[in-house]
Amino acid sequence: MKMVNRSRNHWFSVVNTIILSLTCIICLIPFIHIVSLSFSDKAAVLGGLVKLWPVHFTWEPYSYVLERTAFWRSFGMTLERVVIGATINVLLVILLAYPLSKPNNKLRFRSVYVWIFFFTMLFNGGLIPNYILVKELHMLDTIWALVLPGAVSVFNIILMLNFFREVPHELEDAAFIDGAGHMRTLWQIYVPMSLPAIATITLFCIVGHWNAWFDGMIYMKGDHYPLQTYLQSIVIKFDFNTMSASEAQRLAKLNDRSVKAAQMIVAAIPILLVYPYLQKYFVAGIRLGSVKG
Amino acid sequence: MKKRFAAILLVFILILTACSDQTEKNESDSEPSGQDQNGQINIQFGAAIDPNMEQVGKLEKKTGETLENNRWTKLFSEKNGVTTQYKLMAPQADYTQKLKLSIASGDLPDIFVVSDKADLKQLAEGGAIQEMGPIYDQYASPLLKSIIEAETKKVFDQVTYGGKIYGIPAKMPSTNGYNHLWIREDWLQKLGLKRPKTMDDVYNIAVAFAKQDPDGNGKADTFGLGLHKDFLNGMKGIFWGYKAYPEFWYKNDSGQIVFGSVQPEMKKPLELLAKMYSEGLVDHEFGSKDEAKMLESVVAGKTGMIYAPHWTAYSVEKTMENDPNCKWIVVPLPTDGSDPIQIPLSNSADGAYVVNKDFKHPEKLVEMLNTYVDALFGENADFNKYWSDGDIDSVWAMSPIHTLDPSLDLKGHQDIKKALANNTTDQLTGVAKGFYKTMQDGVWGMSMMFGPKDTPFAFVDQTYPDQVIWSEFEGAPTPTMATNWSSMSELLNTEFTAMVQGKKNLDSDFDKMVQNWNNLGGKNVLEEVNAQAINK
Repeated sequence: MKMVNRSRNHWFSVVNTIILSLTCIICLIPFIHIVSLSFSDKAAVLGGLVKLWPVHFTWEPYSYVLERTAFWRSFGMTLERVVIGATINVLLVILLAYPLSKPNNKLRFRSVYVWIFFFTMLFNGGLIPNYILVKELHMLDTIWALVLPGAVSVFNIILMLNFFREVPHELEDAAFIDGAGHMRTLWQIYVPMSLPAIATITLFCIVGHWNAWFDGMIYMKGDHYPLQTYLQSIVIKFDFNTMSASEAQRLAKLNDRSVKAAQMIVAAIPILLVYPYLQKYFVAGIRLGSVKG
Repeated sequence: MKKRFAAILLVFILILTACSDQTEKNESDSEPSGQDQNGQINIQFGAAIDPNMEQVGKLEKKTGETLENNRWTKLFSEKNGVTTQYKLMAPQADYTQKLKLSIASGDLPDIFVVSDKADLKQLAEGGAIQEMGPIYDQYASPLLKSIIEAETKKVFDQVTYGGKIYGIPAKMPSTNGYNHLWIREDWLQKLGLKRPKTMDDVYNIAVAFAKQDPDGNGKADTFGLGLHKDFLNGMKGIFWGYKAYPEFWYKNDSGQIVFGSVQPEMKKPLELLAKMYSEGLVDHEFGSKDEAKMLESVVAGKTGMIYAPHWTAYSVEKTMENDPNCKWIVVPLPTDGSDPIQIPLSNSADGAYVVNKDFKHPEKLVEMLNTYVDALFGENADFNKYWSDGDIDSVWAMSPIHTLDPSLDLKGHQDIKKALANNTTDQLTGVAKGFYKTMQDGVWGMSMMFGPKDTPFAFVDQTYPDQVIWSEFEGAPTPTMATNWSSMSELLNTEFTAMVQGKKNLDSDFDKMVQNWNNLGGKNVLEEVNAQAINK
């Protein structure tokens, strides 16, 4: 019996490894292709000769990107947005999730509040009312147009709320007995114990802000575009049928896919670096041993 | 406790800075634009300029000029007493979206460009913009008038609603609408073929290019003709050779305005493409490939003949880097019969400039346009300063408004040709000087477009404007078009593709398709278009 079991397990892990490796390769190939494009000669790229390895290796696209002021300006815009935006997001998530994680008898109308937040997940005013709101608040073309409309992320609040609920309430009771108020309990008991969840949510917020492009396009003037909006404006595929002839002509002149690829790679690097850094907080078991008996 | 205060403090700081930011903004916003301020009029513009384009950054590094403060804005300030500010500024595709939002929220710039005709119609009929016709008549300089109306007076059709002119077209060279036949001459010579004169020649060359191994690698891996899914728009030249004018409105012999895509003349060119498809002369996957994808096989040296616009030169020039022996030329469009070819063109414009109804100085728009054309094309023009700065081109587009002499490109070609023949290239001026310098700098695409012989503009020179027929309909979409046009176009595109692929029979299915098209709304559209033409 033991033998059978072992070989079964063995086969399972072989098949598993194969399927996972295939999935991994499928995910990696487009990325490798873009990297190869970014290191290839223009003519080879335009001729469709580049597959998974650079043809006529060159650094030129990268040195060109380094000199592009517009790229770095939008890069700075995105950094600003990520720092301010993610800070506000995480702060509000913590502050909102804490009271909402309490049972009904401690926070009156709790479920009403939750439903109000939940409602905004399903329904919203739509593009034009949103635009008018941002305009009337005089936030157009400022960093706040990118940061404030999405400041409260309900999805993350629900995640956080559930995490807070799993914190043993004996800890809270102990804190209260020792004379701590809600604020102190939140910041000194709940937050340190929820670091894995906060790290996850921080990552979500950072990635969300990093990748967002549509709000940048509608709220910001062209020279204040954040990075992804800028990238979409250079890589966008134009519909030949709706483009004016002179527009097509200008685009044809700029047709340089290796530079586009290089910009995509440079834009992806920071966010790739954030992942492993935050991963170290994803250590389970922080809570282990906090409650005894 | 410290942390708690820090957290609260942070939130407050954020809110405070947000507020202070607003108040600053408020102040600058509250100065109503259009009011005098040091004798200058402050104008908020909406322009489809890409502030991230390479040239803007380069110019700023070189001379410190920005889009809001450069040689153009200084000129407008001196000559017209106008301070330039941008309320809306984004690359073309984004601009159209942003403008729609501005329209919806009622927050329009003072002077702005509109390229979507449906938007223009909405603005005009909703009374959000001013009538410009009388102002244009009164203030436009003869030079400005000569440039805007150079090609045809119909240029105003696209900005006229209810008999009133609401905008001033940003005129661009309509020669951009040409479609050319590009051929690799080295392949022709290698296979001992002559340049094509008739459509039969085109077919024979396609056979030779596909079957006789022009790239000499011993494999049958070349195509006779480049074909892609947008052939109706991108390869019009092949249809023109048969007097078929897809996607174009023109008057037939009985004086009716008709839509070219559904005329029986379309059958012959489609038949030719279908024949090429069935014989394997074109890419069998063309239905899923766009022009850029097709051009990949061109640059890779697998396709030697394409129908494409003149700026394709920037792509086909790259063939030389993969195959130094290649030589691309443009030949006059071959035709089916003995009649000279006719070139169907629409009036090319970068949209139209319109003026907000609340703006008190609509004449400033016309005056600025006067200044603009004077600086580039007037008697005392300083073309070199305002067109480009050394190797930084597109300086002409870094102005809140622009309009170009429609024969600009053609003149450039003619002057260069003359100068080369007389050996006077050092005396070139204006556009030609700039073009010639770029050609000398080794930009092949430029020589391939504007050079003296076998170039797109050599063909334009032969045919423009005598053999041009102008579009009869350039206004906003008619009511039926607004609702049904996209599904009608979809029908034509899928049917034509199926016919080329041999999945549908040309003779029997073409008429059925036209009938379907008419039922989908084609009949109404035709009536609406003809009625509109009579009303004008």
